[in-house]
Amino acid sequence: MEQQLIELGQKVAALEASAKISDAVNMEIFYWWCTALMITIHAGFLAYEMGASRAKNVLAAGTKNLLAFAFVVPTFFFFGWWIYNAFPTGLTISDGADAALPWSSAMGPNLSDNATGVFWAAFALFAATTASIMSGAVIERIRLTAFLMLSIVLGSVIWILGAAWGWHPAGWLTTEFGFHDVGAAGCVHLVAGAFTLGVLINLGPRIGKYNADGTPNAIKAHSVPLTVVGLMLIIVGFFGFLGGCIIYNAGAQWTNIFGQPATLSAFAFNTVMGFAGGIIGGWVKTRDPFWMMSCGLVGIISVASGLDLWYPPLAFAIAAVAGFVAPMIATAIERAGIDDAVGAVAVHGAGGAMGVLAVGLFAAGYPNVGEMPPVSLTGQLVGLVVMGALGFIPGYAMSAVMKATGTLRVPRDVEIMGLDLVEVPIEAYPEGMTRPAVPVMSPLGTGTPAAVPAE
Amino acid sequence: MNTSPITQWDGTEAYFTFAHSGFGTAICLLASIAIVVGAIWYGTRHESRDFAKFHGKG
Repeated sequence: MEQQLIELGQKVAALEASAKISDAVNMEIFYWWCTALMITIHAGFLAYEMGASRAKNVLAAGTKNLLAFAFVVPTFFFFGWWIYNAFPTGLTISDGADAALPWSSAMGPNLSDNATGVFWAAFALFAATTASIMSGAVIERIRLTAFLMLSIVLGSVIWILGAAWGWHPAGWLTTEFGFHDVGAAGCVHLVAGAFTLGVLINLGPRIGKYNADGTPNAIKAHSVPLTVVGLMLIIVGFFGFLGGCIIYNAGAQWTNIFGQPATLSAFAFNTVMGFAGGIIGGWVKTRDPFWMMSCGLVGIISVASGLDLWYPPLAFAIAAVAGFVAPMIATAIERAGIDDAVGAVAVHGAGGAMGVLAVGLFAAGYPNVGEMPPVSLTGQLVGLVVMGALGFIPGYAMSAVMKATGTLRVPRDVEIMGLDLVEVPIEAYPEGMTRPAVPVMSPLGTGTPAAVPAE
Repeated sequence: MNTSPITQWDGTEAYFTFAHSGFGTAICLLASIAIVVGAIWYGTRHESRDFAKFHGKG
């Protein structure tokens, strides 16, 4: 009998060990595929940005986009991941951040750590996505290397500091104010949109965008179909992005990043309903396929903060309203003299702000975990202001310094001739492009097609 | 070059190349930082030269 009990105990221990490693491997698999899906966000941004460029700038836009990814990933390894782990309580370094330093034993192949690599990779893709949000807005006139430096700061410093503050179980915005932003509408989209706005103010509009009286002209995308397909790829990638926003707990219910119970089903309901609502809002407002897809993205972003909470029809309604409003915001930005070539500030900045605000307006009162305060309008407003300022101030300041030193923008004659001719050793369309039989639609601008003014 | 920090798999934790060598890790890390910084410097120089060359043609 005693021998049988010993054998039974050994079998239970073996089963427990097997279950433990299975749980760890399943967790790795989940985040691995979330990360893989997030790569399609970059495929989407690449297509979208190249399509939105004029034919003379297609490859320069693509080069810029590819390099943003390539430079953000290593710099996120060097210091981005450490920033996330070091600063959840503000600007003082938290205990345990040493494990995220680039020379830590956790930051490489390690048989006792199945988690750090997949989480780091997922966050690195979030970082690259954040930098890519800026990329489309500044096409056709920013210097490549200026853009890369701005991307590194946005992708590997600024947004991840916002994530430490408001997208972390110990982030001070959550522990002090109950800030609730499960899908990163604040730290990714609002921060990126605000940073981009700061850069655009200093960068200035493309030549020909505005008339002498300040009225805007439409600078036509060279391929609207490419932009629309690109936007759809971004949407596909967002399922990986949002999947990466939920915490896989071995043997227990999922939790959101703040530790509150959640389900992937909740995310599924509201992501899909938000996408649909956004498209409809954009269609009603513009009837423009570029904006319909952009507003589909706005729809998802506008419900992202409360993705774990919404009754799906409410998510649909919020997204439809956000999708209706976003093109109006883009038009207002354009009329204010800010040339955002793809509407990134309206889609991501305003979309993110609407997402953060929507939780305060329609989901206040949800409890937090432990002693942390519940969801409230005040907490969401604090988060909105913090994320907006965190994005805008460094974007504006850094680009102002670049502008003052003449390193922000390409020379006027280069911009007129096209960046591909000057900077890229190959041609996008070596057999030429034919003028379409009907006018192509413009992603932005309601005015007349832009002409290049004479020197 | 033998960079393995382990001689057997039993009880292994960190096993990436140079995991046992602070010097090796530092050299690799510094080299990768140098590549990033150097690439941006090179890109800046290349871009300025392209612009200057274009002005020369014009």
